[in-house]
Amino acid sequence: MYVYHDDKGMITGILSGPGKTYGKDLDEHNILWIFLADADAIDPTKYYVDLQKKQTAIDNHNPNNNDIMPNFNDCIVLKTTPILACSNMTILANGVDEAIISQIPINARVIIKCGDRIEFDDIVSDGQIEISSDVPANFVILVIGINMNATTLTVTAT
Amino acid sequence: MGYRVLRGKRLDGSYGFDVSKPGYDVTTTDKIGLAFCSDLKIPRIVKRGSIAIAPIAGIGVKDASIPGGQQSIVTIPFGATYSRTPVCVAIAKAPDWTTPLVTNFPQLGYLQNNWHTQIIEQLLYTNPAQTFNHYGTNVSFKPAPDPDRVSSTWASARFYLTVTPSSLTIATNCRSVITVKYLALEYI
Repeated sequence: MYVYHDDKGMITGILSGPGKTYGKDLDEHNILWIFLADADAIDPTKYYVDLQKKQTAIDNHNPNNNDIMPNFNDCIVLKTTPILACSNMTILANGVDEAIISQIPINARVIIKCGDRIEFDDIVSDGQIEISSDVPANFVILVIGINMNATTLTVTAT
Repeated sequence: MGYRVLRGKRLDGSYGFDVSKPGYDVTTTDKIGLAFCSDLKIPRIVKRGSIAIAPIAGIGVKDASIPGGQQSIVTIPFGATYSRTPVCVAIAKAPDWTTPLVTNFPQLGYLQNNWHTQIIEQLLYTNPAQTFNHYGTNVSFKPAPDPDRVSSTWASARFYLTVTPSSLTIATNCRSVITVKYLALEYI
């Protein structure tokens, strides 16, 4: 079973059918993959590919050991739900008060939406983000990490 | 019992090699009664299998974020480049065929957990001011760059495939994981 993933480790597809020699065809199409020899099916929304473990598996692979490819079975990891911390769930709409959302997983994608407008959509590398507002509004903060289930917070400016 | 094997001239004047199914006379039956006919192209399986495609979370028009907000695209290489593009067929199954823009109620419930072929959906209305309640209050035809509206060329793709001489690509905007069984054939 081949597990397709993106450059951050998010699983995009699970391919059943082809044998162990198919990996080179995927490489030629620049598709990132691991092969799980002992798995029949997994829920791609509940797991991610640990890229460090994948690299370790590749480094430890000995092609002279009759193994056509590395053993990737340890590279598939269950996602967790992080507990985000927010300093103020309600802030004053005067542009001075501020809510600091911390404990964001490193390199998670953070989307902040206010009504139908997207105020922010980017990768956060330092683990936290600040919000302030000039006017009363609700801000929905969505955090999507490769190694975590998506989670949201709502901050209200009054 | 009629003849089962014909080699040479047929009744219509053409030449070939035919074998009929039991109970059919090879000299008189039409193609449906033949087990083999040298005139017919024989398909060869290029690739077959199944793939589960995961939804990618992204921003919907109305919701903060929902699975399928970003289209999921996977490519299945054939392992070779064919001079003629293979013929591909696929069927798919999903627990829920709802797409990101559907915000008011479930869609296509009768298809849940059933296998079916490609589905591509387009909005019906041509009036830019008219909203389509299936998709929430802000979804209607209104040309870009209005960020809150979809353009008249918008289509929500539950599942479709495209084929090149070297690969099959499957795309979906479904909110749930879809499982696709595919078959690629080359006619020789």
